[in-house]
Amino acid sequence: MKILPKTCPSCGEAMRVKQLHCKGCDTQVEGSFAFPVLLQLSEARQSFIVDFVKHSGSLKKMAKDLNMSYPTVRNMLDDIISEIQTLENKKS
Amino acid sequence: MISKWLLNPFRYISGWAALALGFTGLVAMALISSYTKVHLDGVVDVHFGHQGGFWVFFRENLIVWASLVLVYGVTGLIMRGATFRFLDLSAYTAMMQLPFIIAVLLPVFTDPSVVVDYIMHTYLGRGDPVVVTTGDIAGFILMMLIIIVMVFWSLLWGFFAFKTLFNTGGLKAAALYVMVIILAETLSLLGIHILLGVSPIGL
Repeated sequence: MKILPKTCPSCGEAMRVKQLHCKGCDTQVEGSFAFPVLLQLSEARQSFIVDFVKHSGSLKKMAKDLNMSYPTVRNMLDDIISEIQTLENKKS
Repeated sequence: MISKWLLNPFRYISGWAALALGFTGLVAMALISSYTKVHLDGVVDVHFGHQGGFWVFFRENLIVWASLVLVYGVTGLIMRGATFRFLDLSAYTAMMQLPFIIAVLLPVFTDPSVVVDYIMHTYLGRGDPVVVTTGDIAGFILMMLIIIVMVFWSLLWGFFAFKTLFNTGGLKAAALYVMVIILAETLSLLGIHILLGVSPIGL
């Protein structure tokens, strides 16, 4: 599976979507679209958020399933919150 | 996995399980100390003595624990607000003393009292004259080296506990941690002096 590059491999700037394509009718949309905030996070952090939702937002259950301590999982969530806030601040 | 656990157990354990482990450790250390007479009378203090029963050692351990809880707690509240659980704070500060189990067990293998008595008589003019052998001194030096390692291990666990509890890191956190340990050490020494009245090692 290809990994979506979020930053430019050449200069490190955030990438934008230039073209979208419908596989069904071959329609193409062109423009300059920013990634949604969640897509700008690393794969690991996206996967953490998916796990968090799957666990109904229970950090205790998540910690148990990941075999990690509650504060460690809590810290991971705090780091994600902090990164989302930074990305949102950049956007505005 | 075991090596990772021994380096930083706080990544894997928390809550009541951690508190049970830490508290059991404090009780076990007091029990062993009542036979080996090793006093953990400060956050980074390990002293050999002749006196004390289970309750003296247990109260020393509790005072050290309470000092750590207080200083870590106040620092955490200032740094991060009420974002951490008091349960984890209590558990981790009890657990960070677990490496000292090895320190309190050491006199089982080599008796330090001969060298301690020799030092007391020679340099402090207390007790009767004692003859020490090279073996006694070698055993004592080895014991000191192991204790130094245990102190560093405990401090390392304390730092990881600090990092995990308050989600912090880097040089600033390390500097703050040093201050926290100095404060907790001072508080524990004062607490032991005030609450236990006399110096437990008889100095």
